[in-house]
Amino acid sequence: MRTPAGRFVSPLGLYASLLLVFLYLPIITIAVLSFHDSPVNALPWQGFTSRWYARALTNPDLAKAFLNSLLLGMAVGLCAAATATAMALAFRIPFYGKTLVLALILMPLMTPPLVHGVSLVLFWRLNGLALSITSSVFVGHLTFVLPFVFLTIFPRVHRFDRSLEHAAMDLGATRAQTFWRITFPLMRPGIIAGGVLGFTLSFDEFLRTFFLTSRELTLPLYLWTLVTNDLSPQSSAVATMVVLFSLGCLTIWGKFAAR
Amino acid sequence: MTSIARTDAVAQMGWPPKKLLPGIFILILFLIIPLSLLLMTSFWSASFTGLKAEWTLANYARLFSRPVYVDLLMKSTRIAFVVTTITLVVAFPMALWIANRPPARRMQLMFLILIPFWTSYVVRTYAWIPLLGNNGVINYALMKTGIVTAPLDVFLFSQFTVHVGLLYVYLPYAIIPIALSLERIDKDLIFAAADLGASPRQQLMWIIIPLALPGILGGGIMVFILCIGAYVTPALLGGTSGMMIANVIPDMFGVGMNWPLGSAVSLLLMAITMAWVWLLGSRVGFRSIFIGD
Repeated sequence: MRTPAGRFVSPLGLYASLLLVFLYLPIITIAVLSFHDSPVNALPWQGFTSRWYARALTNPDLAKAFLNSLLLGMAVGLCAAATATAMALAFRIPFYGKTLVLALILMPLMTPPLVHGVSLVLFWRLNGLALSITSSVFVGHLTFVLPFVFLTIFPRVHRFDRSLEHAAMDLGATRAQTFWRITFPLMRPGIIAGGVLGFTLSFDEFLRTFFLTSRELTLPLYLWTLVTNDLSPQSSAVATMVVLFSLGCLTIWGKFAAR
Repeated sequence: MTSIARTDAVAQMGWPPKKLLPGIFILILFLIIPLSLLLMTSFWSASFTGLKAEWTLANYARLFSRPVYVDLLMKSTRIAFVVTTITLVVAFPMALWIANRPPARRMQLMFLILIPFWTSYVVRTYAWIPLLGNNGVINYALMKTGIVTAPLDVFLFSQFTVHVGLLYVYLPYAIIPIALSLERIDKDLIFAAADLGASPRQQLMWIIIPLALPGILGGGIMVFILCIGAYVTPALLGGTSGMMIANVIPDMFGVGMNWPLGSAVSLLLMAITMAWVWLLGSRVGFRSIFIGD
């Protein structure tokens, strides 16, 4: 790599490369150890095996936890994208109390996950409701992903040329027609990017779920039981698959966020 | 765009649009009301079933008379502060480097930073265990190269490990906003400063850092909030000496069954967080931090 000064690697470039190593070394380590033919998740290296993947993939508890996380994430992503889109559209015009509403939307970002989880448990208990993935966990996830999804969609709504909408209405399009034929198609990449982000945040969420679920486990919770109870490299195999899954989601997100 | 926004401002300043209602409803019902309940129950008494609706200051009296909770809160605040500071210092040069790459390369690098950001922090925290443990990769390497003869057990289960773990997990939360705000800086301003004789150091201190402040403060807010309430990292990497406040709160709501005390401790945690958010956020305004206009 050439820098204007003519040196091959600038000190800043070297620093950045080292930092990337720091960011990836642990992830690469678990990926390597997930193929380790040893009863414990440590060195010295004793040979290659894919049996930890075989064990993980035939593990019914893991499959159930994955399915729970998948469905939960999809529901959260969809609902958050719809709610955040409506809010982002509303934010295009000035109204009284806009700063206050923005503060409310950003509030979940300012609340430590633990405090949010505990407060929702209290809300559930005081109202005599039963904790479950479809009620308390869903609601906890939806609340905390909302600001992230809003902040993804809002710049897109804010940026596009409103004269396109005015032109459509001038030419006789109804409000609904203008929305579905002009506004929505222009916002769609942002909405999808927001929805995928909401899905991933929910899919990865641990601490709120930890408080808000009763018996059903999500993938991060299952991984937690594996990491704290099982010393075998199976946990590394599961972790590696989670990283690959996240990479897939990020690739989809990138396709839409870059537009 | 600005001109349209201005004409709109003149034309129609009204009540909040109905489109906001579902979002406001969710946020009030599932965030504001629960937090208010937390405040309320922190003044209730404990009972066998968890809590009793009798007003008392006993929880706060107990909290401050027993140093264990206050100490843990102070320790968590200190760890969060130290990690946030180090994270920002470590993240800034990286963000500066990314922001100055050609656009295509910049996208690739952002992607590389986003991968860890998108990966479960449980996974990324756990990843340190096989690296730092007694039979871990680092000890193995140290012994193979003859630097040490017996495995060092200082790596895992200490406050130091908690610092490293938190720095690692939340580093992308600082790099991304700083890089985004550095990208937005008008390069002509920097060229102008250079033309007028500003040294690179002066450009950095007077132009680049002040203009990147929204990103720096945004990263500082996010990292601090996530660190002060950290549960997973101290639980997996901290051992007893690395324990933080979040590790004792679940017990108060579970087996310990002292909900009012748990509420009071959670609320203090929230208060410290709010103070930090206000301290950093009021400098440049939340709108410029989170929306960037």
